[in-house]
Amino acid sequence: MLDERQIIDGCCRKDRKAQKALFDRYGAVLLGVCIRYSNRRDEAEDILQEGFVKIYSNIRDYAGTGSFINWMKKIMINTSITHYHRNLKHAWHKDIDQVQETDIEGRGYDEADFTKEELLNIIHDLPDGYRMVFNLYAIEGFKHKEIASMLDIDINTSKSQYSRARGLIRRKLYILKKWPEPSDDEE
Amino acid sequence: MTKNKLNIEELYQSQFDGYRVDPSHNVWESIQRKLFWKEFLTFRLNSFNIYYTLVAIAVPVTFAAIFLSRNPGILSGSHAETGQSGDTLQSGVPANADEKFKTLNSEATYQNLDSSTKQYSARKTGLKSKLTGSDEQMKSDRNKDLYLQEELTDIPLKENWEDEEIVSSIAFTASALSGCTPLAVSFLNESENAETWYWTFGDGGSSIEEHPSWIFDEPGEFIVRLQITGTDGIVRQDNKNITVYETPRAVFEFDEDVNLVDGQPVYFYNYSRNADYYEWNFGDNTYSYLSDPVHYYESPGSYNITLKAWNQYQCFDSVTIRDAFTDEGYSLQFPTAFAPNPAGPSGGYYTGNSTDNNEIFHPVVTGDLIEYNLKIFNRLGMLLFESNDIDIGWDGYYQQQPLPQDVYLWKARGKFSNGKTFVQAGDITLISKR
Repeated sequence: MLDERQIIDGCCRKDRKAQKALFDRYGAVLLGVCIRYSNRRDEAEDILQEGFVKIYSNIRDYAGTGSFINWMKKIMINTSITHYHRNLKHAWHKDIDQVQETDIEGRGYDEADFTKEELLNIIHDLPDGYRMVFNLYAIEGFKHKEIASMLDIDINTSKSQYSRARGLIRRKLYILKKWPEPSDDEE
Repeated sequence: MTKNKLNIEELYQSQFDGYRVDPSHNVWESIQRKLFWKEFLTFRLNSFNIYYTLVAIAVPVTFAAIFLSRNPGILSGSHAETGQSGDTLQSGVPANADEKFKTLNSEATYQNLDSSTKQYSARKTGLKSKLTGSDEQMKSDRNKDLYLQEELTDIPLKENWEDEEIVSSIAFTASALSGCTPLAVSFLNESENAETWYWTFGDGGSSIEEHPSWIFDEPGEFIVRLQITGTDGIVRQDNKNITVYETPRAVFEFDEDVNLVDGQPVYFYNYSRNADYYEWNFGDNTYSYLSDPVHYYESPGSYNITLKAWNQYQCFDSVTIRDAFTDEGYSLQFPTAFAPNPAGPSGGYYTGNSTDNNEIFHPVVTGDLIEYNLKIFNRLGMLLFESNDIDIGWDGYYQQQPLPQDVYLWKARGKFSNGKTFVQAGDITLISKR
């Protein structure tokens, strides 16, 4: 079993075995990232492929500082954004006015309340733009300013899309659990 | 109590930290293939290998083959009519010579390649064998040679025909495939080489625009159909289903006579249609999600009460009653006497409360009315006048005729914008100026 350093060195030499080892080791985690950004499994795997090709051809640029997995995740996220932009002309943007704001302050959640599949399905059902912003802000932890420049949108668009995405998710969580209605408590 | 609970962000972060999805088995193969092509296409001096050499050879050969097959006459000319080439026009000579050179050159290349590599497509090898075949037979039999030339010209002719054929195609996208009434959908026509477009939207509407927009007012399933006539004369059509959900209508009433000082409950009556979920904002920073809630206000005052209503498709409506439970600023006062204008009926329209010389009977209103009805009766109970518009009062006429001086009865009912309803009645003395 190769360790991470050996794998990286091997990939720098374009060693097929090291490349395969890298894929076997991180493919699943990285697909776990990609699948959040696309509502289609095949598209997520396309992103994964492109991302891996980028990783292999740019692995020399990985300075060795910072976590290797985060570096690869960043590449996957950037590839996802590229994909999103490429598909933008096909997939119509949902007009902001068409989405009704459903801003209900609700209860808190337990980790055990929902399965990963349920949560994933909910973000898959979001309009594309919402999904991007929600992933980047809530899970990846980027700032709205960073998201705005990454997605090439206005910072306020990022904020409003985020709050609407959040509202939609919350409603769907409630519907899923058949909770009668949110309590009046603040989160 | 919610300290140990997670919010949405924390919920998602905790669930998707290190989330694993196993890639399909063919993903690694695809990556390898992509890597191979990427490396292959990356220009590096030390990888300038046999493939590049082959490409460098294949390109001029293909070019020559196409050139040859388009001008088969040159082939025979170079062999049989060498002596006559001097007789052609001067301008034609260098070109002709040049072509001859190319022809000979490519033939040589063919022979070379025949012996060295066999990595050519079926079409090219087919051409090749025909070329070498024709070369030999030309010398023996001129008639056969002509026949073969015809065969050669067949191939590029077919290619040309395919290039020039205009194929129309049909496709369109919609900005939304489902939504709430009224749903505005813009359609993007992606058809190619179409001459006419005809859209039907499934609700009786149609359009001949290229990229129409349409508003669906009614809920239901609609089949949007695009029919095009292509430049090739073929009629094609494509369908898309659009689902339109009915938008809810938020309506409610409540007991406005409740005395909030006594801490009495306020009952809310929800008359909303087509809604599945509700959010009540009682105006005192409390909310309810019940359909028909009962609310206790802690202190008297005026409250803005909002009802939001959704259905399962996220369609939404809301209604707000302002300044509920206050009488301040909301009142209706009626005069007790008026003197109609003897010049004739005015229609009863009045503005403000100033200069109508008390010729029109109308209440003085403070606050906004959302419903209003005024009726005037004579003492026999006969209805003389009715108005549903606060801006129209009674001018003292009945069927264009002035009424005699007398006492008449009025009854007014309606609703203020704070939800308070009123029913008032009284009498009015008509003073005749004549």
